[in-house]
Amino acid sequence: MTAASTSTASPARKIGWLRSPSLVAGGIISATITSAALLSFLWTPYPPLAMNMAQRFQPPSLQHVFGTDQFGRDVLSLLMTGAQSSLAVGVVAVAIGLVIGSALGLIASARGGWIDEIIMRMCDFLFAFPAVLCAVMLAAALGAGMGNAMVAIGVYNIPIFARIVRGAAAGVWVREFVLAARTSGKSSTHIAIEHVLPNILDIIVVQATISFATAILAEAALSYLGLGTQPPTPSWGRMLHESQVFLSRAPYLSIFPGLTIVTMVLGINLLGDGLRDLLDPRYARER
Amino acid sequence: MALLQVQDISISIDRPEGKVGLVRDVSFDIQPGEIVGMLGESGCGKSLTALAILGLLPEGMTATGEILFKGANLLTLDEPSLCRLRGNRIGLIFQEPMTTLNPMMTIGDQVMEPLRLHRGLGRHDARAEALRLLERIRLPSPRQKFDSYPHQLSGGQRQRVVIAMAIACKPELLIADEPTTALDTTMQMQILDLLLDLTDETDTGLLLITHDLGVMAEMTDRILVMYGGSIVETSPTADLIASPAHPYSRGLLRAIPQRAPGSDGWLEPIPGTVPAPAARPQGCLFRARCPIAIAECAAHRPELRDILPGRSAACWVPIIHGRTGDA
Amino acid sequence: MNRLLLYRLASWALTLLAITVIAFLVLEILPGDPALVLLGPDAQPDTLEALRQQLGLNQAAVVRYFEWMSGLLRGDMGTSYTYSIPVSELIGSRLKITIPLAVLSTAIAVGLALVLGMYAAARHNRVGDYGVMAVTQIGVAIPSFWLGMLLILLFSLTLRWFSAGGFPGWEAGLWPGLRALVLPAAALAIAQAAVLTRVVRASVIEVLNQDFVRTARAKGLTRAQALRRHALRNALIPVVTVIGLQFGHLLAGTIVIENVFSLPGLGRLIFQSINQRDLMVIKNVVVLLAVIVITVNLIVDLLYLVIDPRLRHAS
Repeated sequence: MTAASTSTASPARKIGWLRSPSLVAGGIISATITSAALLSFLWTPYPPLAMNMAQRFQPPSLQHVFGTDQFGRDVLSLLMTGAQSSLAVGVVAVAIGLVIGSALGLIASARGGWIDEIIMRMCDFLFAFPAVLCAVMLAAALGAGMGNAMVAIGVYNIPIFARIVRGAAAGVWVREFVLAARTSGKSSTHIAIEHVLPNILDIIVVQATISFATAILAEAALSYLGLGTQPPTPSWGRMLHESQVFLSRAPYLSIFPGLTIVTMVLGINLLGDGLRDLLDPRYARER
Repeated sequence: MALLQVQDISISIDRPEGKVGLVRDVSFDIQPGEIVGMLGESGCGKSLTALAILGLLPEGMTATGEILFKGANLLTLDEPSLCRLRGNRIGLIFQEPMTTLNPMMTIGDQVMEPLRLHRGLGRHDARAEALRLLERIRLPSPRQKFDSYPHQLSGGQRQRVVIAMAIACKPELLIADEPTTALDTTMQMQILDLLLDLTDETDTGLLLITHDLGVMAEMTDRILVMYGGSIVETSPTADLIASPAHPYSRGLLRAIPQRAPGSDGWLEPIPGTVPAPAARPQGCLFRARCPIAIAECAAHRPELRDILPGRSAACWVPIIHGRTGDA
Repeated sequence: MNRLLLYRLASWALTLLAITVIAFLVLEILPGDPALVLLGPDAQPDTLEALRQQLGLNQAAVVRYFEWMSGLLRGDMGTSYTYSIPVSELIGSRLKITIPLAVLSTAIAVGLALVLGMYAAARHNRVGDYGVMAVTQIGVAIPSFWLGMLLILLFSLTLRWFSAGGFPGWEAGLWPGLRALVLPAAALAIAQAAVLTRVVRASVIEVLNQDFVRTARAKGLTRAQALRRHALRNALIPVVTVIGLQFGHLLAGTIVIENVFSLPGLGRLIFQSINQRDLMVIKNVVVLLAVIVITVNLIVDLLYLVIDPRLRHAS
């Protein structure tokens, strides 16, 4: 094809961050739920764990915006407090995956050869253990709990970060400024932290948002199974588990926690998409 | 009646900032058995014109004007009728043999496809006919290659297969868009010879698109020179080679050693670049690069007009018999 | 034989070995004493000792590992602590639900994704495309177990088309069995379908822009014919990859969804075994699930050889 038609491919558009609707929408949703979680440390409409048998199964009303559960607890207050567990598990799990995975990816890209091969085979191997399976094993070995959920989801994220960092870093190690740093005698560790890492930070940040969203989904699933956050600490997944018995009697008990999870995950994913467009215009056109 | 009559074809693309014209008022015709060359630098609208004839412009582009194939206007024809023409009565050969073949399909399946589609041949008959075709285009060991995949063939062999697909249904018109650009010189000559033979045998009209003037001189009866989306000169091949009328044609000739009259054998690339479609200036588009431009060239864009019998040029001061002046 | 194939088979076997080692380490070494786990912290020392004897826990870990392995090779997975029947029998009966569930769910996901993805690709950058993409955004954000609950609420409790859970057994016939799997399979399929739809869309858009599709059109194929005969097969490669990668998630998802719908499958078995501390069942099921995941990935790699002739001839 001639240049007359190739020139029709639209040039990568620069997206000002206010002009990215997904970034704005995702940011607002994520910020709102995070603020609600933080606020719940200081204040909730009702004490989240206070039972009130006179107020059981109240449908949504002005007093109880999302209604009350089988113990008369205020669902909104439970949801706000439950956000703490979700966010905590998400943050720690992503941190585990990010730190260990990025380190492995950096080492693999820096050393190459058999070290690279071993690390990548290990990652392939970890892929055979989805987060839920990991959690099941840990729960069987160490007992169920929030900490084990964090570790399980974290371990699941390690190979994801390792692969992405390795792929992105490989391109940086051959750039001029890295070669220059090498010839000036700096150690690989030094170069990795000082030069390579800052150049792939955008990719890591985007992956961290995506992983955060999947971590929240995984935490909810584990808590639903009783393998995550333990009672009496409120959590979204367990609220859904407890509500299932009352599905026909009080459907709103199942609907609001579910909607909260969907909204949160949607918000973080939108934020991730927006960030990717913002940080890396190369990806802005497709997907 | 002409085989193909292209009249005032303009092609534009829809952009957020508005329509941008890519090709403007292109007219030419091709007689049965005639070989017409379309010459110009890449980006001048050659390939777009070819795609417009087949109704295969990329999405977002529109063509206006008239394209008469044996009297029927292709631009107003419905899609099913166009599908019956494509690959059947009009064949198209693309430039990149590496990417124009489907990597996941055997050579045989790809060559049989137009035969089964347009001539309704069954698998058995189509196979026999496709093998005949592969022999005809002189593909070595066609029986074995029939079940091969494109990556197992060389570049020249692949281009032969592309040609086999285009001529499978004995088209009346063949459009070859840079058929030899990706090939080495010996392979180029073989492929061009093959095209010449094939068109001779069947009285097929051929529109040969290239930026290689050497190829043009060998092959064509008549040459259309395109620049910036318009035809700037159309002349019989011998006349154009002997005395190019448009300064751009002369520049192109000068860019080729040996052929250019009065040149010392060195390559003289035309200085400057083609204006981008969105930034085309008033007046003649070649003005900025033209050694003989006059004031009129900046004010008005010259239209294509006859300068001598059988020759026309879009220039205010065409070069006639080696001299410039008003025609 | 193809070297690529040989390499893949070797790495499959190696991964399999590593999985058994890890499962063994995590489940039998890390927590300390399985007998204690089994009987609880209040158990008497002599009861504990007797159980250790019975389970062969007094032998060295290496010996126990090799006994487990040689048992596996003979098809002997040991006996369940709680059910007192061979684990292999237990797993066999549970697989009759989990495998059809996973297959049905994959089928739903792939079917949906092909239709939606190709539609979006055909309407690239138009309203239909944006609509499909928005739906996939929501699809990946919905927890499968919650979707399952919503489906129960709508189709079982309100419309009464399906039962809210449980499984009649295949003895009851094919249709009653399938009927019990439709809702859980759908709940499991939506997230997979959302991910796959994006892959199909991106892949088809990319292939449609390639030269050979234009060649096909120049041969006289209609847009739909070119898509079907030329673009689809080429677009399928990344789709198959993702189906393979997603299969692990799907299988893990059955653990959750079988609990939502009270289906007596492998996922429910492993969940119950955790509560009953039946390590014999857990370690074998974990290994089995991981093996299924890596085997599916192996099959995907072999499928490439079928789909892509370029790989078939590269040896």
